[in-house]
Amino acid sequence: MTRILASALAFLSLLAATAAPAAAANDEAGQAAVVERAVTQYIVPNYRQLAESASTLAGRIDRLCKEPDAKKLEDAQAGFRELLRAWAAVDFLRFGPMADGGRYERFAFWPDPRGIGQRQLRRMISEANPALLGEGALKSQSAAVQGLPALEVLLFEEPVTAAEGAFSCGLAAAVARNLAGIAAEARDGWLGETGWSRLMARPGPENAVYRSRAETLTELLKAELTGLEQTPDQRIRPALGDSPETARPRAAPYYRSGSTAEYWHATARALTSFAEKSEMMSLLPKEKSWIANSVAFEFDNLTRTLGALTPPVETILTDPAQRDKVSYALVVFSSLKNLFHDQYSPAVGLSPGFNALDGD
Amino acid sequence: MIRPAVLLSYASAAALSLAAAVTLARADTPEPAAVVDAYGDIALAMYEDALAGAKALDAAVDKLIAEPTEDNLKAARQAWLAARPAYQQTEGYRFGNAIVDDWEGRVNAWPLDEGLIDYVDKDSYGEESDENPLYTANVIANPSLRIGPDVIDASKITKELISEKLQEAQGVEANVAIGYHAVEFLLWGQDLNGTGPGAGTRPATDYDTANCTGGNCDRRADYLKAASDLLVDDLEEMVANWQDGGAARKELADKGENGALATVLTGLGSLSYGELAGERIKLGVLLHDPEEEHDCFSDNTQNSHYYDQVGMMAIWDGAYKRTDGSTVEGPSIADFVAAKSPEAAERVNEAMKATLAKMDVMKKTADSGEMAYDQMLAAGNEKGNKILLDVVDSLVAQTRAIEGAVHALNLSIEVEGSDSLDNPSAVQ
Repeated sequence: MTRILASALAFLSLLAATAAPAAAANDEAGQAAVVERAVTQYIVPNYRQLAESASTLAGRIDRLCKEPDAKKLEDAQAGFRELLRAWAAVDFLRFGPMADGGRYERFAFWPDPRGIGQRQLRRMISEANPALLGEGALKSQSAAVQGLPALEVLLFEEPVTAAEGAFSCGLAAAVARNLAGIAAEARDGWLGETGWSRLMARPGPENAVYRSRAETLTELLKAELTGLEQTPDQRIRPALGDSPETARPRAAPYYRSGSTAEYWHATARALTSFAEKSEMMSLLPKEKSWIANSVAFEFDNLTRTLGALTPPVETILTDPAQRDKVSYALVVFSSLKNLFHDQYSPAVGLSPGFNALDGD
Repeated sequence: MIRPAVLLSYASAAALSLAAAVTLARADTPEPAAVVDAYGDIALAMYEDALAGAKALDAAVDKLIAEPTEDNLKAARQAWLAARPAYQQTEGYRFGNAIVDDWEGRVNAWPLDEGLIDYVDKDSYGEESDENPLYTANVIANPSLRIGPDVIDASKITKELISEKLQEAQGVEANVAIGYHAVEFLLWGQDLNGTGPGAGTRPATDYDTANCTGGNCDRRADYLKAASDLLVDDLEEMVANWQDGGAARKELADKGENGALATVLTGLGSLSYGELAGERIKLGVLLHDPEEEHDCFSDNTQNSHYYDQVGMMAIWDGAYKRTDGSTVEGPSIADFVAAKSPEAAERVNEAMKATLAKMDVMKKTADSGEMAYDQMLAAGNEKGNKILLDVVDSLVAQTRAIEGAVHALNLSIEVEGSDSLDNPSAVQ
């Protein structure tokens, strides 16, 4: 009861505080503007940030391996967390240059329910083959050993500051350089004459990917829905379990670096920001502007709830009060998914299409 | 836009009555109900063929158990291989039809931790897994086993034991105890060649109670027979679902015409993209892991993928060539889309042909003995990797084309979610 009342009050105040974005015509020009804003205001800046964070981290790990000490390890670990935040901003964008050539999976092969990455990484560390540390050598190895999950194991569980951890440190540096390379490729793939920005800006019969404006808009909608689906289904629910007894902290994303709650929170902010920066709600007809209000209200709930968790993840998953918050966030995710899928899509004349999670 | 203009010019040029114009339009655009009926008829024919294959396999299994010779083992393997194309062609029905998707795990679940079932090579497979407490439970060697808090009596290996106690035991999906891939493991054994040439080499004496290798040959035979019988039972159930008035037809009808048409396209799009391009092909190449091969014991993966595509094309075109060479056909979703948007239909046609061509390269490369599927996905095998990634790319383009068709029909497709979310009653 209390929660419903609080929600209702919050809703009313929200209605008063923020109006829906000014309605634009849901026509060719209006749709093109949404796509353009999504690309220039959200997608490109966030891939720039990703490339920068990865490159900064690679530099820090290089310095760590040259002269290992606790302070440099701390810097490297902080850099990892920063990169993770940057990744949360783009990890629901399952299209474009990042989806080409396995870049997405190479950047972050997760979830990995069969523990393939662990198995392959352990073997790699025990074999300690120096050839794998050479420039570009990791690229042809398994995706599960060349991205964020592998780097997390190396930086947070391997003795990288000790003599026996020299190979692991070298491997961490190689993984970070690999990440910087992938992120730079993803960023550059959006730019220039043949970049993905152009593809999205100019749909048509000759366009190899997008035949119509609606298809480019559908791509954005699918991204939003992918985030709203993969976060609860893959990143929260398996760890939460049905009860504190069946909670599985090891199924939580990036628990090794203690980043789970931060990652969830960053994801909520990212999904909010993507919708806001693109102003996709502006395409709604006037009589459907309640959808924009509901979406804004739910995003606000989501971000506030996930921002109020107190790590470590073991406590979040077992403390009843914190579990309640996480369960509530799952309800909000579901509500947002329905709003985008069942309300927003038909209101602007789109069908959301197939997404990468279908086979799971 | 083209069609009404044509009608209009006919009407103005000649004394074509309005009624005739309507008839003309009808002849061009199949009735949705007829498209859905033909879709159901093709499903029935496909599942009947899959069932026939499973029965032939079951007979070959009987023979192997009665007379465990290398020839009989070879014949059973051959029967398994022969049963696969028909089943794989049905996979275009899985997504979208909840009655199929909820059932699918019983027949084609994959990948599996095969140590649940029988002996494994501990050097390559390992002894334990963080994720699966039953990773090496080996029920064939153990008449009693602990599953969580319960001790299970496995003294007799029965259909009930493997389907109700072992399948997905402890909620772990990799505990696959039944279906094609369990039978495949029992016929071939583990493929210990990594990404090198060669499939599994289980000897026929694994079933020879007089000269038993691998231990517990009687229990292994019981297991194989139970799994093979179950496959027949489960396929019989699905054949019944697609008979006139069957549950699958009813489920479709209940969705209304647009809902049913959306189901047809959902099945094609979801199989093309998330499942086949993603889960089954791309993942294996990215991980360079021979375990990530759909038919990993028999080295038959190229055929499993290829016939998925053949089946999708049959569904799209409304024409299925049966195992006996005859054809079942009717008004197709392709015709229906073409009537609304010839461009959208043509895009799907082209995309499907392109995928089949890429699949054909993969199939020929494997069938000719040049490279098996698990060799193609090896780290550093650029040529092999490319063959598989070309298939992935063509499937992604195919998905986009199917989305174009969805858009042309102005349909809404329900993105496949997880059962536990969307349909709690389906979760036991």
